[in-house]
Amino acid sequence: MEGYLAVRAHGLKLHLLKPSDYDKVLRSRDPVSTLASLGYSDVVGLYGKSWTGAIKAIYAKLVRRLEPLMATTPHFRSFFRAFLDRLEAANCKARLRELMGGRVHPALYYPYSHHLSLGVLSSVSDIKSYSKLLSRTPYGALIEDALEIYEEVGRIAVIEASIDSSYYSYYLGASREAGFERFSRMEGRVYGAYWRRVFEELPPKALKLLDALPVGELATREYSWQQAMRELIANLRDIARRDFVGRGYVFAYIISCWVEAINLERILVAKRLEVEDELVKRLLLPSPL
Amino acid sequence: MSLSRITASRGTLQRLRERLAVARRGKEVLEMRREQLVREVLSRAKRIEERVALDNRLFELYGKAIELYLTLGEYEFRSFCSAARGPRIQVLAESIYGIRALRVRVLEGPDFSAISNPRVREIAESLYKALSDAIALAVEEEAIRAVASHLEYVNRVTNSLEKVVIPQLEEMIRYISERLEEEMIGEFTTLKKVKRLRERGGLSGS
Repeated sequence: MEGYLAVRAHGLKLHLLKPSDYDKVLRSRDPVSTLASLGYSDVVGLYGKSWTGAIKAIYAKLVRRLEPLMATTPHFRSFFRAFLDRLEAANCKARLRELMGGRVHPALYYPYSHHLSLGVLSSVSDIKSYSKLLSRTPYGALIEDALEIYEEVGRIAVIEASIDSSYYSYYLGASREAGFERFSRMEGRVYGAYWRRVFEELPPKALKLLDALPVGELATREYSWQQAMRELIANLRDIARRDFVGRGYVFAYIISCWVEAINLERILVAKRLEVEDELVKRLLLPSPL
Repeated sequence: MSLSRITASRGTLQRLRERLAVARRGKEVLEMRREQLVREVLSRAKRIEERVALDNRLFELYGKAIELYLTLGEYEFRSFCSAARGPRIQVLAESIYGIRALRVRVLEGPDFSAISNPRVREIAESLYKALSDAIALAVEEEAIRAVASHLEYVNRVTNSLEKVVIPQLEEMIRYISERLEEEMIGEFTTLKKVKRLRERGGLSGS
């Protein structure tokens, strides 16, 4: 089954965008139409040609890219689903920030839901009902503890940390069952890199919320998310080369899909803000495959 | 006013002298006002010297914000921004020596403490500080513009008094004085002639 999955990933990899495709979108006067012509027409048609519609389409495509893997191998379905659930965890954090903030800028939600429908999440109007809703999902495993600490310190970072930590534990569990734990642990450094920076600002009591994340392993707070991501990609490139028809290649493929979504989002934001191409190219992540 | 149309009488001369006194007094007052406004513009102009440094600071911060925006992406960046509370600002009218200008009052500062990402929070705080300085500078520039515009008007009126109105009045006064003097001499000569004729007996009294 693992071999079949890897072969499927090899086939699906051919549909991913190449660096020259990024250049095409970057140089295009109508980047959304160019994106549609590069295999995104189905999702662009669904979400429209506006900037936010196009960005939603990018993440809808990420979900679609993983759907064939979920359909062909029910054995691994929960792992791929857990991988995509990071979008839902991000939606939960977005709603939390919106609830706690001044609501000057409304949040944008990823077009994805699994444990929670977007309608229900966005209709929550106070932190109490929010925590009640979250406690029914894998992202709310630590919400009660987080709320207690939040009452004391008044920083919503502790609630966000609890969501990330709970999500990571859940994702790690799903990876363990599907035999992807080794790779997911490598990816944990990406989460850890972010929380390492926030680490020093949080009270010692809040640190137990981050137990699941490899925060302590990272020595310096200057180790950024971007660095951690580049490191993960470099490692995966080696793994994919060695584990050509195994789980390593499959994991490198799903990270490639994620990297493609991140890169396209950056390009579209840059096009909207009329940023110089050089800066965008510097920020684009390489693909592990 | 054309000199030929002026009635050369003592009454007119008196009125013109009064007008000249008022014009000279007005010019003195306006010159004092002009000095006051020039001093105000110069004192405020010192404060806008920091404009270049502020522009550079804003430019640098904007670059950093853009880079962070691209790194985080639309979703994350907007999500972090939604946690912030914006400032409450009031725009008021202010009087600078009777000239209407604007003043910006911050009723309540922004609250960025709910932004969990330290980099986004740092950028938001630095940008708000730089933008507050930019607003304060814009208020200064607007005040200078209003004062300078009034100064231009005062200067125009002072110059017109100095170069046109006062010389015209002086010219009219000189003209009427000369005319009156000539009339007086003419009358004096006539009276002398009449007196001489009476003394010779050629002119009998009425």
